[in-house]
Amino acid sequence: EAFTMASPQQPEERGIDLMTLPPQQLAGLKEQLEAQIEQFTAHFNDLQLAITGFHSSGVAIEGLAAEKEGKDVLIPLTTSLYCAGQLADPNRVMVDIGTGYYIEKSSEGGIDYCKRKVQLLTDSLSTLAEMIQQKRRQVAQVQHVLQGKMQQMQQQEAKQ
Amino acid sequence: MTAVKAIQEQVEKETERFRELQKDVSKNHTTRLQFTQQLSESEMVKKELELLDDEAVVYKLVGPALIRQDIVEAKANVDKRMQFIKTEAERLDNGLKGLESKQLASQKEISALQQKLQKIAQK
Repeated sequence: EAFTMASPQQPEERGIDLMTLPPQQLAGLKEQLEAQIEQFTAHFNDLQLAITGFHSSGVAIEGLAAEKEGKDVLIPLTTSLYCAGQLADPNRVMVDIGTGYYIEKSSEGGIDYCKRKVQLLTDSLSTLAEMIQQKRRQVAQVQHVLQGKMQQMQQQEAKQ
Repeated sequence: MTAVKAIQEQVEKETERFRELQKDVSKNHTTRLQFTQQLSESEMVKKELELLDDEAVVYKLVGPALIRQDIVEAKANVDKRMQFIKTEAERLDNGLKGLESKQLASQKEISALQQKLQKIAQK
């Protein structure tokens, strides 16, 4: 059975004939793949959280932009202390774009930013989902060959 | 008998060396991953800055304060940072090659020593 796998040392895929591997190596390979699946799944969950976060931010800006200047607001100073204030400009937001940079945007710009982020992360999510599927198929392949070999070994032992 | 002991000690020493090398390789991988992450983050910042027009207002977080930055300067700084990360990552990659060949040599040495032990045991 042909089996292609990319290893961290060699980014090009190389075909490994699973049938040539001894059971221990097959079991080790299966463990390696399962560890990768776990890592990918954790990353998948992180992406979903981030998507939800950006989506909520977008919704929040939409709500903000609908308000009028001068509107009374409560501003959180700590987790249990608020102070009264007034909305200065419902159409300006500050966006954290990463590595310590912040940019001022209109509320439309802010909403657009959030939408773009959601799109970007959703695309990554799909790619990752495909990779997880592929890894799961590979685990099944390895398991299949491993089982075959174990059965072979048992049959040989029974004959002796 | 002392010949066996001497070789066994050599195996131990070489195994220890191998383990140290493995630790170094692992550290290299972790740092390399950090650089990749920092590089992608900076890429995103660069793209976002490019979408802005020349009058856009940009701030940099310096400690607890947001300090206003000129957009041209901000773009230049991001580029400089990305360049720095790239050269550091390249340095790590070269270091990794060296470590990996040392690891391989160490493995071969351990194999050879173990074979020697086997031969003596068979006599």
